[in-house]
Amino acid sequence: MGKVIKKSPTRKRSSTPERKQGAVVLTASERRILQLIATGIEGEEPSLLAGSP
Amino acid sequence: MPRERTCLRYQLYRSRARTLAGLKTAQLQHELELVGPTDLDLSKVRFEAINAQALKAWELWQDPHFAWNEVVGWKSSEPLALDLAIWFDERLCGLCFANPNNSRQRIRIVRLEGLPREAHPLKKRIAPLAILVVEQYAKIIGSKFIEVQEPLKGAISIYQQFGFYFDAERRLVKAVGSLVS
Repeated sequence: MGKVIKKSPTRKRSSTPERKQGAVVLTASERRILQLIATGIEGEEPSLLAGSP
Repeated sequence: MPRERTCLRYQLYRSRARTLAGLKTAQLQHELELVGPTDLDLSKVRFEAINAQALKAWELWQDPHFAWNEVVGWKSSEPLALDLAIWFDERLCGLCFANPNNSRQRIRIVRLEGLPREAHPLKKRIAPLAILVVEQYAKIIGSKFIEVQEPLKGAISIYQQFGFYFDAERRLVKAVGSLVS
């Protein structure tokens, strides 16, 4: 009989992109939105942006 | 009751979407500060529900386009909808209401309005801040598209800056982004 190797009871850490990069993961779309938040949109922003009063 | 469970679940999703958007703006602020001094202070931006405090602040707006107090009724009849108040510190700068369709494949921005007739610290940033939150919510509930309902003609070019386009049915839409690892 071979030696039985006990598995560690601790759970392995997830290898999600969030953990790999150590920061908030952004989609290309979010990067574009955040860029526009940083710079402000081009042109004037009307107060009414969607919907019909 | 299943409906109650659904309401509670979506309440958590809304809260999560606002929190995630707050984390992303905080990260942006941090990155901007690493580059150098900046006038922009996103640490004062808050994403909240349209609650009594927001409606009290909205009552002080001059000539708003919408009666936002109607949202109180909509929130109870549309449990999957997202309501959003965009604050800069103690100043209410924007309000938004978005509602997914029955299949949740598409979430529609029904109303979006920035503080009218006054300069405010988030001018030119209300649309991107609102879309950031709506996109978080869309991803959480599994929507594939965000649609802008009845965009003002002058506002269409703003949405196009985010990648919105007119689909075959002339709806102003944007695909919800997937993660880039």
